[in-house]
Amino acid sequence: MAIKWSEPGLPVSGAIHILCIVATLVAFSNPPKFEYMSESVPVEIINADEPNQIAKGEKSAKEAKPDPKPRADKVAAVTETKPDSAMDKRDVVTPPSRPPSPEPETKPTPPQPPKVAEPAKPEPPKPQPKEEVKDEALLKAEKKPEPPKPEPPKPEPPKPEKKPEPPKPEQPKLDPTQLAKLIEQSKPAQPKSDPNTKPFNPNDIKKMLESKEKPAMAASTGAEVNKTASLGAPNATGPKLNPSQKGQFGDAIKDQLSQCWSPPAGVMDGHTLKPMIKFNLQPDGSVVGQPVVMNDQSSPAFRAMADSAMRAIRKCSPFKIPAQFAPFHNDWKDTTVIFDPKDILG
Amino acid sequence: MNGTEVVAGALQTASSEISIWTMFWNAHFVVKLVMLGLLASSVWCWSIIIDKELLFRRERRSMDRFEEVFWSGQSLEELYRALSERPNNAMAAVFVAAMNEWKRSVENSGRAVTNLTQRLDKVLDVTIQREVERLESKLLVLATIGSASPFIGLFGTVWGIMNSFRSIAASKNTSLAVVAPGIAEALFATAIGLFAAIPAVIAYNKLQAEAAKQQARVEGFADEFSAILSRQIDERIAAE
Repeated sequence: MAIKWSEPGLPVSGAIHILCIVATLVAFSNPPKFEYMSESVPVEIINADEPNQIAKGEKSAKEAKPDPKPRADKVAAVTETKPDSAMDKRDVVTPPSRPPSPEPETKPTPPQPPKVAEPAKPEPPKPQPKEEVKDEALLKAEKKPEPPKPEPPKPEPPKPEKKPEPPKPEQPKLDPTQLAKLIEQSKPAQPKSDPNTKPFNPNDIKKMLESKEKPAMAASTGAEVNKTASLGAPNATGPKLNPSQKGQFGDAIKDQLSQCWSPPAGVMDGHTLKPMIKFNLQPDGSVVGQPVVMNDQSSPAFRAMADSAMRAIRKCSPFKIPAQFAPFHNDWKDTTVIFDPKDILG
Repeated sequence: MNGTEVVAGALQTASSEISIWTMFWNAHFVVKLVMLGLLASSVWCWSIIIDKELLFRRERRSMDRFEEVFWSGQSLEELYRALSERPNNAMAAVFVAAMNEWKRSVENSGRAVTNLTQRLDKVLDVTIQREVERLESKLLVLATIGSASPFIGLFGTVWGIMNSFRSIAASKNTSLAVVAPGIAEALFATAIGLFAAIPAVIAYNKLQAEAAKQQARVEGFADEFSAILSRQIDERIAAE
């Protein structure tokens, strides 16, 4: 086809298009890749311990009391023992000397002995004042001991029948001074038993067992009566490992890792290659989730090191957790180990 | 480890699939046809633009020259003799056509002067019509390309997206790396359509305006020339 020079449109346009196509092929051959960006999400990091460390508070309470206790309307019949006090029952080489925790449930332990003692104490004096009162034919009319006791009316009928017989021999010797002394003896015991603690009466047990009535009030119970709730605890702490225990725990983990870890050959000398790896432990010592390298570096040697460390953790996976650390799972569930060949392999 | 290799391989092929050529080559047959058609129409459109632009420029220059000569007082006979072989612009063509008619009527018999003015007007009209047609030829192609090629490109895109959605349904994988190449291919058709359409629309408007301007110029000249000729005719009739 001869080119007409008056109309050079077609060849010129064809040439331009070919040039355009070539230029596009060159320019678009490597599309720019997007940089990997993960969307940022505002995250508030809360240590899992914190919610546990907050003593049972009530949102409706007005203020946070310095010595918070859970609200209790009456005294609990059975006091619960907290898991952390399990530690105290075990034979441990170095018992953790912790500052007395302000948590309310630990307190009941000291008051307990007196409580047990209390019912015991009033018992011996009880028969005496009563028998005297009855036997003296209400002459002295010592009614003081009677009214403070809530239960006297009930136990009364059985008591006079049984009890008067054994004490009778003593009765003749009765003199006013002794009586006064006995009354004095019984008195101090009574103030001790405050209106909230019931004095022990074995007959009540039967009655309570037989009664089919429902409790009149489903009150919250506690070791002590506390009518006002506190808004959490300002300085409560959960069970924590003390520094020496922490060291022991770390050593125990490293000990087990030393048998699982074989660092890649040739990078032993690297002083800087100490992957710090964080992993989550279950209470039974098994690793849950993916271990995370905390000090990530891009060098291949470091990667190899970190990979070997990860493998070691997975290989060791059910770690043997020494029994004395079991109650502190909160504190060691996130464990971070620095894989330093000198430290772990010795 | 094997799994990561497979994934890496898939990513490699996915990233290499984005070059323009593979984009074209992997497209569906219909989309390919659309792309090729649009590319051809773009080539044609540009060839028309170039030809017309050159033609109008030439036309304008030679019209300027013709007008200069025509109004310089040079003998019309001489001018006619110079141009009668090959009139090089619309104005010259009009002039030559009118002179032909004049010569045939006046010189041969000398009798046919009575309706000469009407005949001259007709001849001028026809010549102007023909010349304007010549100037405006192929501009309709530009108009067609400008209005139709976006739709053709859109058709290719819709077809391509339809196909890629069918592939998604078949492979049951909706990850963006799988979906993206098909949609990029499809959109490429629209891109080519717009690439062809935009210059066509702009050039059509510009060239249409240019053609209208030249037509007006030729018509103006034709009116003036027919005025001159009719004066001559009237003088002749008065002389006889």
